[in-house]
Amino acid sequence: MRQFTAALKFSFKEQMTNRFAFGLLVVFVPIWYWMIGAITSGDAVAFRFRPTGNFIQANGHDLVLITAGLNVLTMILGFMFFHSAHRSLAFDKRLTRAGLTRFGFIAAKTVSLVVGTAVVALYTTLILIAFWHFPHNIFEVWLGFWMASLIYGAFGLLLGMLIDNELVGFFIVIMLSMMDTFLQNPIGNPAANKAFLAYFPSYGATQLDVAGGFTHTFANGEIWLSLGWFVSFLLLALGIFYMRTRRKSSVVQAIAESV
Amino acid sequence: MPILEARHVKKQYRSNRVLKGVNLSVEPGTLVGVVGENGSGKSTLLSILAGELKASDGTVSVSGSLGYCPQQPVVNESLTIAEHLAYFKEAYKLRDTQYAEHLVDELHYRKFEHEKAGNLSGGTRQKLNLTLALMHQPAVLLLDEPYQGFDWETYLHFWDIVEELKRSGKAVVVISHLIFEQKKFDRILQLKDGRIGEAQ
Repeated sequence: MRQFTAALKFSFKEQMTNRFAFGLLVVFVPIWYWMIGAITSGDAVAFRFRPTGNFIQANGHDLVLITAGLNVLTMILGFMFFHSAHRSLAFDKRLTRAGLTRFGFIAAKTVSLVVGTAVVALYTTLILIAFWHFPHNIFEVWLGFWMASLIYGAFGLLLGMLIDNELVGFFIVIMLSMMDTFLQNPIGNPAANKAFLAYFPSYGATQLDVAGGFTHTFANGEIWLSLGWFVSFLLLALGIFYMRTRRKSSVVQAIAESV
Repeated sequence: MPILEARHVKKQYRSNRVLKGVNLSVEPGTLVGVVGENGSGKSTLLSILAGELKASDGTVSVSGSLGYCPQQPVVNESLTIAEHLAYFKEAYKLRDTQYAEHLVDELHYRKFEHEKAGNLSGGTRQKLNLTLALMHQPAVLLLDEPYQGFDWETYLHFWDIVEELKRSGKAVVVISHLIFEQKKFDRILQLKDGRIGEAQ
């Protein structure tokens, strides 16, 4: 338990020191909402709403704000968790060699991801209110943002375990986030109601946000879809972490402690 | 009885046979140096002894705990020196950081205690790297080019620490491409053509 507490504490500390990501959140989120909102009219747009199976007429300006929020969250959190996983892998390995249990480590990484993304999603939701005064269910909007954040946070962790080149990892996060979030918006993509988009990672989160923003439906099925993406990425990332921190030893005698 | 013993250790990367059957035996309370040219496989051997790398063939046996100080400092840039010590105290399941604090004083970097590792000079990072490998007082300490970046005073303190370890019955293995203080070593071995032997 003491090891888990230490791993959790320093995991949070590490996230908190990523000044670039926090700078992006503070400066970029409101600017992005403002810019994208300023260039989009409030004309009604038909959006395929899966929980009811019908098309709903959504305000174009407000719908694009949802896309902007999802885009900024998925990019920044994907980058944050990629960066920290990539940078600390050798150090984490050293800690596990020293005796820190990998299960404690994995639990700490998971908790810090879940809590960190919830807080950042809340911040992004609160800033959204400054630009869009009347979402029907603000909790559901936050939930959608949180789900997308969880998915991309776990995806960032996974990339951090796999990609050695920081620039490559960063570009993969940007490209996937752009494709995923903007293709689902009927303003940016007139074909946004195509069925294949349901296989994109942030599809469930977008549906949740639209449900919270424009309807009185609670889209609980979309939560499970999003959690499925999150858990899949997370299990893959943590499985690779577990394998990569495994001792590849030829040492035959028991070692009490080692670095 | 040896505290560390390697038998017929071989390592091959595709067709490149780096280690062709290394035998090494280290007794408690001794300091052993391993020298060799660049690319001779010194770091590969040390990684195998430390359990970081699996040998293609052969075995390594260690009695007791092991400390490994890699050539490149492995630290977390976001954490301070004090936080590193606190974190590793939990990892090693130590009661306190008393010995680590002693090393911080001995290596003269107390004034940077609350600095993040990312802001430290190469030499101070190397001191922290060494402290993390040593703070649980391992029975065997493996050091890969340990004094790179040390100033003269720290270099001398480093040897004081090594003497202290030897007196308390610990074994120390230093790998370096150059060994100046030959009299300090109980044995100096040379790694050449994938095999190890007494240095000329």
